[in-house]
Amino acid sequence: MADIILVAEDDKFLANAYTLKLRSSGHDVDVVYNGEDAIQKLKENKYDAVILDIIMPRQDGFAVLKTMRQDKNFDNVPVIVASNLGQEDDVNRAMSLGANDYIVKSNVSLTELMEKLNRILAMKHEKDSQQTPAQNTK
Amino acid sequence: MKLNLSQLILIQAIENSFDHIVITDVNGVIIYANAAVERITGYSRREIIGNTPALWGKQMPEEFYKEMWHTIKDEKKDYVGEITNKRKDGTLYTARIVLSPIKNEDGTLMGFIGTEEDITVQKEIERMKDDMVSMISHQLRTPTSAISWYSEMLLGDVAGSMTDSQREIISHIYDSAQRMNVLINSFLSVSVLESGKFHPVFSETDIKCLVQKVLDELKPGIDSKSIKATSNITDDLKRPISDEKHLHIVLSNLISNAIKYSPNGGSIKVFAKEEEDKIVVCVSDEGYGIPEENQNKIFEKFFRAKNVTEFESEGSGLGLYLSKKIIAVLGGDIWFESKPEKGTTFSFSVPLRYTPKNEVTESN
Repeated sequence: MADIILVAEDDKFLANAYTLKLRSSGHDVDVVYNGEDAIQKLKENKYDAVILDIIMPRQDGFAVLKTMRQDKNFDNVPVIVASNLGQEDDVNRAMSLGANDYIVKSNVSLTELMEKLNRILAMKHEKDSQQTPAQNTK
Repeated sequence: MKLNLSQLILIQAIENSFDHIVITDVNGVIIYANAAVERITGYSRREIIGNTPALWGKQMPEEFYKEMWHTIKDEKKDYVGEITNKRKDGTLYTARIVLSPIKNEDGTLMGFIGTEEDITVQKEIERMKDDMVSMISHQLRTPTSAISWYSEMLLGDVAGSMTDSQREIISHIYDSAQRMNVLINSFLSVSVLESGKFHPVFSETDIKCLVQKVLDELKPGIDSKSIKATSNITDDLKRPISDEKHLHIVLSNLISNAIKYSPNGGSIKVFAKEEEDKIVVCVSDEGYGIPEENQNKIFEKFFRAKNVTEFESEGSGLGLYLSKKIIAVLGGDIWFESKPEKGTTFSFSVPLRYTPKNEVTESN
């Protein structure tokens, strides 16, 4: 079954680039353009990973991360923060809020981003398959 | 006391100076204050005379005042620095200060002269400029990412395979976006350093490994010019406690300059050695060199020497400026030797152990 990725990115060109690349790599994609919609989508569907921008209208990426990690339903969905902020403080804040990885979009190629995503998806699937049906609360 | 004409002139010059001037006795008690003191501090002379400058002070940490007094009273030397003070109405301001000990003929301390130049507005403008550069650079990153990623997808055949000439054109678009990204990162680094927000992260740094990493990253450029790049660093070279990420920036700058300003087939050598309590790293090329008349400006922001702007339109003139600032913050030095047409060697040093004294330098 194809992985479903949630992309939260307010710039429509970048959002579209993610969609093209992810689909051509065989993943399913849902796109939202602000933090509020990201949280709404997470409540409605089960995602295998999230690519999360930081600077977004109506709740930024930090707020989305905080909400995610406080909600049992999706607190273990892996998140790659993809931002153009790159200061030490921003990275530390994202990682301490529970992000799995942090990339600066303009310093990373789409290929590298896909490699990171695939590694994270592989780890998640391994973790899921190690859980016995009884332990699997989902 | 009757004053002669030259004394009257001097007194009027001091009294009317735009900068604030106070004269105190050896204990710091104020015996004279010019008109500007009232304007800058907000206190009247009646409140000031007989009091001490602590009246509008006490905003800095204790070590600051300790060092200040040690310089002017114990060492009997001038103290120059920047200070935050508080006006009578409670507002804070930033001043550049010069404090000088007054000595009589046999060297005995008689008192002190303190001058303040209010630089609050200047500082605010600098901060706004840094914020603007930072904001613009961040905004520019978004379209740069888009150009890079879309051309990367075309080159990766995501939209179907391309002809050779289409591939060539898209490669140029991709390369230009990469160049733009390097420039934007340079602007951001400069703005972070200048705004004083740079906090080095210290760890044991393997210089040999770092040099090899940079050479590997710059391999495409090295190969495209058939340059012979060698590194001569021993395995047992001591590892300094320094900021690896920023040393990476400096090494990338020096080595990519060596590549840029070497002719095809030239050679570049990188070596490092331990000297007293420092590690010294040298990057040497046999390239165009730096003309003598440009050498004293080479570390200036945006400066590019005459001889290279003809060969190489690429280059922001920020690399060496940035490298110099980074090395200064890390407690080291950077210098070079160059002969036009013969080549250039850039060297920098970093201390083996970052000491607290370096930390004081950084906050200045």
